[in-house]
This record gives sequence, C-alpha cells and structure tokens, in this order.
Amino acid sequence: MSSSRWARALTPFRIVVIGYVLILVAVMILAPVLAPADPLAQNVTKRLTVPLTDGYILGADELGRDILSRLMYGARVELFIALGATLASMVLGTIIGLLGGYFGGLVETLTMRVIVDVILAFPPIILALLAVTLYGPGPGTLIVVMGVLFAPTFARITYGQTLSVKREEYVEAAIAFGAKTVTTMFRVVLPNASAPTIVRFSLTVAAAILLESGLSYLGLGVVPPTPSWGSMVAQGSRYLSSSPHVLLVPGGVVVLTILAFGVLGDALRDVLDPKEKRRS
Amino acid sequence: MFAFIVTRVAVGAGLVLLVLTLIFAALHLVPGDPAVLLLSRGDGTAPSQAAVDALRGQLGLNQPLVAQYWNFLIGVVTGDLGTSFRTHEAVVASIAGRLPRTLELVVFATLLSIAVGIPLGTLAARRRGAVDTTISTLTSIGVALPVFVFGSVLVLAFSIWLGWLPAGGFTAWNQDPVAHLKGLILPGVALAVGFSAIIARMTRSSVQEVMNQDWVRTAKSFGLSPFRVLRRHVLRNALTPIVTVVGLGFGVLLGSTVLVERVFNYPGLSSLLVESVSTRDYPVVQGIVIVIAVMFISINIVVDVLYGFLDPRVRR
Repeated sequence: MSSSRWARALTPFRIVVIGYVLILVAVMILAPVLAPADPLAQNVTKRLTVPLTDGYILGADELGRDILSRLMYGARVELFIALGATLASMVLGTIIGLLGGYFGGLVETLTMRVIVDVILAFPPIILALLAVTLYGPGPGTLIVVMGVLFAPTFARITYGQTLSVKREEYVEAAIAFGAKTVTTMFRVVLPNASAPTIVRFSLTVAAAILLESGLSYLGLGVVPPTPSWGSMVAQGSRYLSSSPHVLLVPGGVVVLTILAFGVLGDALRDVLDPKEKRRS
Repeated sequence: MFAFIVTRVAVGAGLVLLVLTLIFAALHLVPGDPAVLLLSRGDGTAPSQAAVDALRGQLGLNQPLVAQYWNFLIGVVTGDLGTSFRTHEAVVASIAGRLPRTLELVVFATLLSIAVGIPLGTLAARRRGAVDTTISTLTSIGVALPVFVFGSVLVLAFSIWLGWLPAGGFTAWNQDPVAHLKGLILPGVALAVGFSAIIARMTRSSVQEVMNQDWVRTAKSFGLSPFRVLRRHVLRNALTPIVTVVGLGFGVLLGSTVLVERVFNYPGLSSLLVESVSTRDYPVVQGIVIVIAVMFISINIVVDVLYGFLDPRVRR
C-alpha cells in the first residue's frame, strides 16, 4: 500500500471524522467513567433545562435527566447493537456468498437466489417488525434480525469476488497441491476476496444505526428506561414546541454518527480498494 | 418480449411462494408454543392455559403442520388473512381501509423525488467543480438523514415556527381537499429527501457515463444544441439504471412510511402495522407484511419488464 494512497484517502475532513468515530468508541467503552451524571437520575425541578445552564452541558430532558450522560450510555447500546449486527451479517453473508460462488450450481441457486432474494423481497424495517412481534423487542432480537437483514449485501460482494478469484492461478495451484476444499475456500479464496467486505462493514454499521434508532424511535427497539438515541428523539418530539433541544440534540448525534460511518467507509475504500467505483 | 414477461412473472410468483413460506415458518419455527409466545407479556408470567387453548384454536395450531401450511396458502390466495386479535375485524378489511392513504403518500413522495433528483443529478454530471461538489455533499447528507429526525425538524420549522402547514393528522379528500393536500406536503417531503438523493446520485453517474460515449460526441459534432443532445441522446440512454433505482426505492419508501406516519400521526397502513406490533396483534402484522412484500415483488417485476422495453438487450 503506497503512502500516496494514504495521503489521498486521509483528507483533513476525514481525519476529523475518524477522530469522531474514535471518540464514540471510547465513549462506548468508558461511558460510566466519562458521563457527568447518572443517565437515569431524575431531577424534576431541572426538567427541560436548556443546554449550557446549571452544569447541564447538553441540557436536561422532561424528567430532568442529563442529556449528555444519556447520549453516552445510549452510544454504548447503539454501537454494541450496530457492531454486533454488522459482524453477524458479515459472517453470515460471507459464508453464503463464498458457498454460492465457490460451488456454483445448486448451491448457488439455494444461496444466492433463494436465501438472498427472499430477504431482499422485504423492505428491511418491515421484516424487523415481524421479528419484534414474535420475539419481543430488545438488543438480542435486534442483533439477530439485522444480522440476517444485512447479510445479502455481504453475500453478493463475496459471491462476486469469489467468482473472479477462484479462477486465479494461485487457487488452482492450491487445489493442485491437494489442499482441502475448506482450506482452499477460507485460507486461499476468502483473504483475496475480502477488501470490499471491509469497506462495506463501515457502511453497514451506518445502516444498522439508522434502522436501530428508527425501531427505538417507535418504541420497538431498545426498551426504556435503557437510554437509546432513537427513544430520546421520540421523547423529545413531545416537547418540540417548548423545548426543541430535547429532540434536536439526540437527533443531531444520530445524523452525525451515520454520516461519520459513511465517510469512514469512503476513506477505507480509497485505501483498500481503489479500483472500486465511487459510491457517489 | 412476451416470453420475457412470462418468465419474469413466473420467477416472481416463485419468490412470493418462498416469502409466504418464510412468514409461515417465522411463526412455527419459534422454539416453544407460538400461542404461548404471542400471549406472553415479556414479564416472565405464563399466560393462562385457557387463553393459550383459545388462541391455538383460533390460529388453527392444533392441526397438522402440513394442513396449517396449506390453509395458510389458500387463505392468502382467496384473500382471507384471518381476523385481528384486538378488533376482531377481518384483516383484509382493515388493510383495505388504510392502504390507499399510504400509497398516496408514497406515490406523491416518489414523484417529488424524481422531480428533484433527476435535474439535480444531471446538473451535477454536466458541471464539474463547485456545483458538482455541492450537490454530491447534499446527496451524501440526504442519504444519511433518518426520516424521523428530518421529519421532526420539518414539523418544528414549518408548523411550529412558521405555522404554514399542519404538524400532522389526516383530512379526507371529500371533506376538505385543500387540507388533505396540505397534510401530504410535510410527510411527502420527509420521505422524498433520502430518495431524491439516491436518484440524484444514480442520475449523476449514469449521465456521466453516457456523456463519454461516442454517439454523444458525434451528436455534438453535428452541431446539435446542448439541450437537444442532453434530451435526445443522453437522458434517454441514461434512463435505464434510473428506472431500476426508482423501482427499488419505491419499496424502501414503503418501509420508511413506518417512521414517517408515526412522526406525522398519519393514519395509514404503516401506523396500523406499528400499532399491531406494539399490541402483538399477530394476524394483522402478518397480513400487512404479506401485502407489502407482494407489492414490493410486483413492483420489481414491473421495473424489469419496463427495463426490457427501454433496453432490448435485457430481454435475452
């Protein structure tokens, strides 16, 4: 990897964005240490305090809870679910795509046509709602459901990559040397087919945050009192005319975070996979 | 062309069957008794045996699995999707009452997105530099904006601060047409922002690609006016990928209405879906999911056939 490619990929704007993502990850791990207050502690006399007053950096919500602390604990839940779901979908999708691409024929029909096309036959949030009805809301349901929902993207990427990589001479060489099928698939084909998958990872985290916050907004994702960004927006919408900050602050954080993971994906693509066509 | 359509519809029908099987399996592959699961309140207390037995009878869970599957498929084909746990109304009737409102919203948002996205994308493709950068930045933001956040900001700006438009609700067309249309504007715009960004992106890359083709250079060198070159030679050829994106996006919009209808208190199909999920009214949820999935698949078939008309090479 040449240094000029890094230089082109890391524009000042992107460095700021990557800094934001790193801070989020730090907050996710260190929320109990960093948060200025207990996210669940209520103080009704301070309800709906506007930002930057009385020690409330980002204000207080309708029960007088510190919004910054709630956002920090919310980041924890949000990123845990988003990263978990993305990881699950990557593993699932990669296996599906690898099987389909490597074996072809009936396996290909079963994986790429039956499984992938059926999942893609639903708008994602609709299938998520079906699952929530059956299994109830909560982080576990969300991770499993989004893991399935986002698997097709990874399956298609890995499938395409596998098709082109499996004809390379080094793969034929590995087979000729008597490598087992599983070894060839996972140790030879997969590593050479994985760059676009890593790029996709970041974009899928953004998509997962988008979907999770939407479900929590509906009260069907992470259930209160656990703070989550989506439910904070939902609470804020009831005080929109008198105290818009209760909605605008968590809403802004959701938007910034989704944008940041999108930009991170673009940067990763420029470094890892410069041949890939630009998204825009 | 006829054979192409028949093949496409057959594949679509197969997909519908698979989707129905998945929905059927979702209820039956659950570990434990689906009736107990649907009745559980999530607080660890077991539902009463009488209630479980009643629900088993109502859902036909006492029959053999194959019979249940067969009855389920026959029910869907004959338009019998069961009755609501909550209102005891036929699910089909509840859906029929709500669906037109949601479709109206989605069609309005789609038209708005096309009207904004295609000109914006064309402009970005034709002008390099600041215009292109600005539009690309806007589309990146548009794609990332969650509809429930953007919708709430619209309410804040246009109904609370400016007071121009209603914050939500629904007025029937035959009651007050003007109020009806006014009520569509904010939810429509909230839905359209992400979709128009996607259309603009697709248009930009598609137009850019076509503009580099030999025939466009030839048309230009014949001295045709830039507008005529754009309309007759570029946009026509750039249209096929855009049609695909519009078709796919229609389904995504159907999904987004789930959030938008909540933001604007819009009594459409999606708000019925959310209410039913909250109250675990399984027959209604299942019915709506089936209707949306079938619509989604049908639209994709229509898009593919349209694609075949626009680009004869696809028909092979």
